[in-house]
Amino acid sequence: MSEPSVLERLRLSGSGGAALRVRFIGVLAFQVLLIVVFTALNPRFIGWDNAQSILFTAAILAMAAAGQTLVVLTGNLDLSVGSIMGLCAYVVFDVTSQAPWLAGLTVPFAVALGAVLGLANGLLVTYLKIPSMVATLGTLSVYRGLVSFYANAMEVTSGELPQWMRTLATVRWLGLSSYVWIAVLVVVLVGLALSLLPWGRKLYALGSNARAAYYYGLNENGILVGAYVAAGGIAGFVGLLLGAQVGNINSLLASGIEMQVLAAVVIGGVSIWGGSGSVYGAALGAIVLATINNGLVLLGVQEFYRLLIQGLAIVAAVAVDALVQKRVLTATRRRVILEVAA
Amino acid sequence: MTAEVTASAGVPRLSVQGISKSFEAIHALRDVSFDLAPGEIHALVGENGAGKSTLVGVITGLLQADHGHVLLNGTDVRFHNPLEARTKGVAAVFQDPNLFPHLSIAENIVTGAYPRKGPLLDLAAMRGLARTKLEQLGFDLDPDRLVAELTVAEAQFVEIARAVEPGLQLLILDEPTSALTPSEAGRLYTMVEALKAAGTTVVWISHRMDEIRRLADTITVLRDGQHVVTAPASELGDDDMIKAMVGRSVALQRVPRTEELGPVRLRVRDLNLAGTFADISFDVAEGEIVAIAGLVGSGRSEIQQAVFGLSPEVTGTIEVDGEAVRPDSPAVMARKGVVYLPEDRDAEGIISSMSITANIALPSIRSLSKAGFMAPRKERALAAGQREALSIKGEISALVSSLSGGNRQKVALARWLATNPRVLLLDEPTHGIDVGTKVQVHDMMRRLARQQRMAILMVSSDLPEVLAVSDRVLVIRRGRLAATIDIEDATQENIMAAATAGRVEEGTK
Repeated sequence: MSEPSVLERLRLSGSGGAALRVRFIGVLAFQVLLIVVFTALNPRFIGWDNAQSILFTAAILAMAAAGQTLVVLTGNLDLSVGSIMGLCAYVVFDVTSQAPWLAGLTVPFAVALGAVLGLANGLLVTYLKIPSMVATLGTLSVYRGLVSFYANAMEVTSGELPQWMRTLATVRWLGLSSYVWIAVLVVVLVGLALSLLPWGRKLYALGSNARAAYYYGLNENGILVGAYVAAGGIAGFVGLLLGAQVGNINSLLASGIEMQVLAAVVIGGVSIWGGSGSVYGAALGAIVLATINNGLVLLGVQEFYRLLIQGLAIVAAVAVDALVQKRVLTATRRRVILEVAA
Repeated sequence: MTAEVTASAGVPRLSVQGISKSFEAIHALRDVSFDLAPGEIHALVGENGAGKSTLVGVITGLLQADHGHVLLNGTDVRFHNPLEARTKGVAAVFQDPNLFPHLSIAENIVTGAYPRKGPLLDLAAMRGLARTKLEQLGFDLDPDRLVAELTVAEAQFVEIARAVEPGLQLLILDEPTSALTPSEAGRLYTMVEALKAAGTTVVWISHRMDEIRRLADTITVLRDGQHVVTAPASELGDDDMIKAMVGRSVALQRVPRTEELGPVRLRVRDLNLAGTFADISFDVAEGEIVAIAGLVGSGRSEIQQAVFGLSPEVTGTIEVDGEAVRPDSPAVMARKGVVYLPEDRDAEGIISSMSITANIALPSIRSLSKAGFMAPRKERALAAGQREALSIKGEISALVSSLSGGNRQKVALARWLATNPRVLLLDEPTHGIDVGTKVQVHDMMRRLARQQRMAILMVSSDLPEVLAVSDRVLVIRRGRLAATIDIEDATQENIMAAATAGRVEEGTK
């Protein structure tokens, strides 16, 4: 017997690692391409004012995508994100308008309410073993139904909000909207939690190989419920910010946003099979989506083109991930090896 | 090596006492008892299905025994999961890799026991820990590399590095060298000997005589879920070991073939699949049953799957009735009259939530439909005919999930037979089936070959079955055709010897 040649070795080794490493760069390249194309088509695209506008649009999406990333990393979905945002915003606004002395607690209240809704999602997925797509499709309706029932076709107007929240969306710090800075803070905090907390690493481990996670003694249900609770809490907070930006809100706030959020996450390179990607990629995905929106509006293109391009971007991103995933999985396959000829 | 283990004199490191474990009607382990001494290398051998993996599962807490005890250093232990076993110093490296491919080597090694600085991960300590472990074991790997970019051997080193901890009492390695080159295996031998010197007991599951001879202090043989012998390696020769492995008690009768073989139906030449098998050439004639024997993981099932078009990247030539065909997909092969019955019939062979009729009609839908619509009467007639021919128990409207294993297998077979195939590929056709049904399946195979003139290529781990039904035996060892044995000369011993590269004296029967 002799040693296999270098070429043979290469064929035997998993080639998914390199692909994982360049995935983020691919999104970045796509964003640069978008900027170049839009600028070429309409020179007004490039400039500080328009960049600010894109980042402002991306801010809400990037924060919601940060929460969604936690769930998608485990190989699951949270389709109820828009309903959680709407429910939390409406309930918190309504309560504060009736009890102004609670105004100082709006943020913790929204986060806690969102976390409770996320907990319900997590329990459905773990203990009742309902596939996450179905469980959160159900709660998408349930939560929206609850807020409609609660709102009883009424609106909460911005006049009833505490003063600081009414103006928050228009405040600028260092030349950028406060929302952009808050989004940066949220994304970085989630990013740090993912890389520095043991829980964050376990999310990746669970999404990468659930069977191995069992052998390693990881508490699968606990980790997953944690992901849903955190995602719900973030959604509650983002809902509050979105409500403050919109002003007069009704029970339909943020309905349908889950598609945008998921689009940002998968375009940003978080694998829909779980285990890889980052919250920074998801934020970049949000910027890509905002850029597409903004550029097409500047070009005076109709809405359905935007949907078309957004849809193609999602499919292309997941197609790339599917190729990467196939290669990555060679590392978990049964070991079969050929005896090298003498 | 940091593993320093204290041993009290006379007490076995691990004592397996009267362990039994059944999966439904199958007895995977029956009253197995033996001892492992402290600081020895203990080879655990046996055929496929002898119960080795089940035993490892029971010891490490992956499975719960129905009866019996496991004593670690004289204390009764019953682990509920592999992690609990690890905390008591019992670790196993399984044949199937259990790693996180998207994560780095360092993370894979520390997952579950992260080094912390307050509530945060200590990334530097994590890397340092991983590097130290890898260096101690003599593995030269960068802890920052992702597991997805490792070779199978490197991935296995990562698993071993993860398993080895200070105070390790028992390390179980399940066919650890099956994916290693000779020099990599050599490094593993050195590592295992160092562990032994430090007092760790190592269970080495292997089929390779050379390494068992080189490493093992003691050898235990399992057969059909039962303990056969535990003896010092010096007292158990290769012949005795192979005899102990293969001496199955089941009596299956050969039925000599009176019909002549016809022309070659399936011709395979120079079949190659990178990293899995190479230079595979053979013929199967009309009316002939050819068995592929070999160990699990030798590539034998993969050869059959490649012939059925499940590995489009395979190279080489395949001819069916003299006509060349590229095995690009199962659809292509099925059109040529080649059909395949997978080993895991519940997952791949049948659709258990559908009726017997629907299952049998599935591959024949085109010929059963009229102007694009299904013709239920024709479907039922086809199913009733097959049910009769194969003596399937159960109404044709019954769901397949309500049938026994043997009858499910018959349904899986019936659905292909309804298409009048020319070449039949069977992977472990009677795996998990009771002896009575097994004999029926064998009769059916003989009839299909001899009367209906099909060419049958069967993969089987069941040596009595191989001897009872086949006309010729191809033995695969590590992806290569190690021997072709005519049925007149075949014995369980010489097949096993060819599969494991052990030496058996001529004339051993």
